[in-house]
Amino acid sequence: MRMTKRWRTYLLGYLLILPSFLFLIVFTYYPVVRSVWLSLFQKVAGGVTKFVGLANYEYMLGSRLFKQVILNNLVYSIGSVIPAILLGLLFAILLNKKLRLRGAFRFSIFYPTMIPIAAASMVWIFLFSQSYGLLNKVLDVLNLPSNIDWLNTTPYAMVSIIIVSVWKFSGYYMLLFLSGLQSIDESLYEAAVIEGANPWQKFRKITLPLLSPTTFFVTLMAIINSFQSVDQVYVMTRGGPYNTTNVLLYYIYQNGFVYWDTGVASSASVVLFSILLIFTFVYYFGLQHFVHYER
Amino acid sequence: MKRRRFLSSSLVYVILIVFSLIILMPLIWMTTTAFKTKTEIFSMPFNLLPTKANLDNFANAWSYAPFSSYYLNTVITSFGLLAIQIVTITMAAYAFARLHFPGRDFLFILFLTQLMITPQSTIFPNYLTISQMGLIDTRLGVMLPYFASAMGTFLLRQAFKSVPESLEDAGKLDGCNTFQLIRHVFLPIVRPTLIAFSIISVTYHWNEFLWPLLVTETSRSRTLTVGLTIFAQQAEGGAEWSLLMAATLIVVGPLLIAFTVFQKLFVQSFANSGMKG
Repeated sequence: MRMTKRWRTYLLGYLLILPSFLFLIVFTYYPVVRSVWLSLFQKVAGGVTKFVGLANYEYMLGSRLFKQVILNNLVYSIGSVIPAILLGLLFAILLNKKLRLRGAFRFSIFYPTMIPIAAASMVWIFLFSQSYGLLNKVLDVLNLPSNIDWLNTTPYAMVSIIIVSVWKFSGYYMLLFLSGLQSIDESLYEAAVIEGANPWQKFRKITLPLLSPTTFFVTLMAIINSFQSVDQVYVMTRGGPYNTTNVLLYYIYQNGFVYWDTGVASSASVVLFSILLIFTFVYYFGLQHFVHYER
Repeated sequence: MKRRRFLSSSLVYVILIVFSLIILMPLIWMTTTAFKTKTEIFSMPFNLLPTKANLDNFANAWSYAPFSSYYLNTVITSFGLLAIQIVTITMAAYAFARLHFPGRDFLFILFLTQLMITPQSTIFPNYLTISQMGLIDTRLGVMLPYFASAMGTFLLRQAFKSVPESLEDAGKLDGCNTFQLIRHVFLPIVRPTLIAFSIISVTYHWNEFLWPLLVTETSRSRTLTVGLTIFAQQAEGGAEWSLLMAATLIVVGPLLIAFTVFQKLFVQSFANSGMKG
């Protein structure tokens, strides 16, 4: 009798996780294995595929385009992550005090999180437009060079892609920094004031060190995001001009769905997957470390 | 001293106002343009506000493209998916939080690896799978890869663990079976977690672009974000900005209104999601 009850609990446990598990296998684990597998084959004439070993990777790493794609992605990642984090931190520090209109400021900074990048990119195309876009109009008023063809010239196309990314994510990072700031013990600041610390010293010696776990996570999250959010590349530049905004995920899209090159698309997927795996691993490993540390 | 404090607090306001306006600009630009006539956009001198609010652009956008199908598809995919996710994550979270069975901890860690395999890095093989299943251009094809959620399971498991043992026992004494127990004891207690997960899931899938772009082919399954870019490609030649901005507003409107009304709830949900994965 006891035995059957225990077995019934086991069975119930397995049955309850079974549906989730099936979907994980089909749409998470299997695709990884399949990417690796398909990256070892190449299409040859007549719709037949042939085992080619690492030839796809060799081709990719040797190609000029792929090197440029990786370089573009680095520029995009660094160029968007640093300003988005600095702005997020600045907004969080300014909004952590009692302020009039705090709700309104928070709304205006955070609302881009709610807007799909693909739709926002429509508006940005308009703002970036050469002859009647707002951006050039503002530059004109400021007496700066104002006849810029933002989306069709280098390096402005990449700058545009980065601007959209910073606009989209800085509000979200602000929110994460805000919850980090709120967990800092108020009495530390009071003690510092008694010791005669000025605001800069308070920031350097209290806020920044105690915020470092948050900074760590936000930075990693931002890096991961920068490899994943390329909707604005599709809508605004299609990787152009001359592939100067072509980034890794867009390259996968191009090879997989425009050229139908299964081998290269799979190899590039494996590269993207490996990069993201490293960063997400550090993220969750760090999370565990910090969580234990705090307890 | 007083003077200095006044200066520094005005500086805070100046910085915040300037940045808020810059970040708000796309929203302001989109909204004002959507109500303008075609000639007004290019008029000199330039006016920010339309001379009179006309709704023609919205009516035209709605009639030029099948936005009602796009709406229906988006609502069905994002909320239908949420309904399924709530079932799968509740089941799994209960098992991981409350039942003892061999291999449980190992399986849970295996579950969490989904957090490391981001959906974007598997779009290509998943497309092949969906295509072999014959689900291209169906709403099911858009939803299927997301049926299981490690993040949701993780959040809910944490919440279930905090439900007191005594409540569970009381439920059992009343003759509840496992499903009744989950439904009447566990789920009501973890409502805040469920709401937070729902907000994040719906926002993510309402706004998703690349995956539905690949899987959908016609208005039978196409979602709003994809429909909008198709609409834009067709309208591009004529620089129909007022029409396009009206269409964009149609797409982003609902979430933006929901966010405005329930700002606190949204902000809390997003703030808690980040650190928990």
